[in-house]
Amino acid sequence: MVFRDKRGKSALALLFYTFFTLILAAMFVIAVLGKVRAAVNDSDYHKKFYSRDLALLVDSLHAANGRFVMDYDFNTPEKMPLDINLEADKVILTDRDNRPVESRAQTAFLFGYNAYVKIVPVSINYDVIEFTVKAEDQNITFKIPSQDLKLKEPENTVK
Amino acid sequence: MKKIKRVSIMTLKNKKGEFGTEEWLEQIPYIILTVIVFVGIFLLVNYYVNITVNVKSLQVEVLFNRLMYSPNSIVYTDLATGVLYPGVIDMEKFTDETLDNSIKYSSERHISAKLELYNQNGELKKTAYLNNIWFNRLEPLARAGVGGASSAKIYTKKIPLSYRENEVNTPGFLKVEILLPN
Repeated sequence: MVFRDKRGKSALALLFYTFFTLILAAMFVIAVLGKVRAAVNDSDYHKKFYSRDLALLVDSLHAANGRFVMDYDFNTPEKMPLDINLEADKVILTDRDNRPVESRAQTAFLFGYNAYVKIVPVSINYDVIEFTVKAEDQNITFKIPSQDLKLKEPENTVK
Repeated sequence: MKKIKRVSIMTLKNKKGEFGTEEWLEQIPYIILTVIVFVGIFLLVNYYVNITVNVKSLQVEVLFNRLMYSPNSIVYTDLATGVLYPGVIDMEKFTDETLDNSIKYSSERHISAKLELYNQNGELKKTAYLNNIWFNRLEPLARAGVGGASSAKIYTKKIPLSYRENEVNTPGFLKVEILLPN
């Protein structure tokens, strides 16, 4: 293709510019959609968020005297079931799976524990949108509303 | 003898006039502007659609509140009634051992702190550490402003309070430096 005159050369340059813009726009749309999709569908964000939020909540309850019962909203997108595990030193969030928690990819966040407050380990693997965070008599645990979880007696109770 | 035609750098025209750069050069500002607009929109989207969860400032607040209000920490507690006196530091409990027993993490690198107690005249009375080893290990890097995963950041708080020594409450200041690894 030969553009001999001034108009022809301008048309070629314009065509190049349009082509370049289209390629750039396509790259831009792919990058932005990828970013938004990662934010909406990727369970990593939710696992990170809830593990940190719950661990810091348990952390702050260590400084609290008295009895605390908190209703905790657990809202994840549909088709993203997550399991919550409270352990002696951390809160672990995993994608729901048939495998044991130890074999799954875990997102954990640590809280500061001590010998004075007892953590009652619990695993919440039900389809719940709300559960309770309970701190009572130097015990901290999670429970789901339909499950009347009775707190264990502390092991080192002085009578 | 052949004549050599002079070719302009700006026009780069050969004798047929098939190829000229002036039209292409005209497009450069448009291309640059387009790139800037797309990059700008992407950065804005990237900034507002944030999938990282940064809770460092909250970690600092939670640790600070645990130090200041926790019954088994450095705060004076009446042994007879069990009443806690926030804002009154018990000098006997103001030790590394008390802090390390009161707040433990299964990963020692998670968080550490340095507590300096000053009297009313600004003289240092006593220093205590939470996780002494890791604070002293990372403090030089944090103070030097070294970035990267091996370094840390120090968050400082200074509050007026009282310290209790020999059954007497004396006014003073507490400077808390909390070190969080990057």
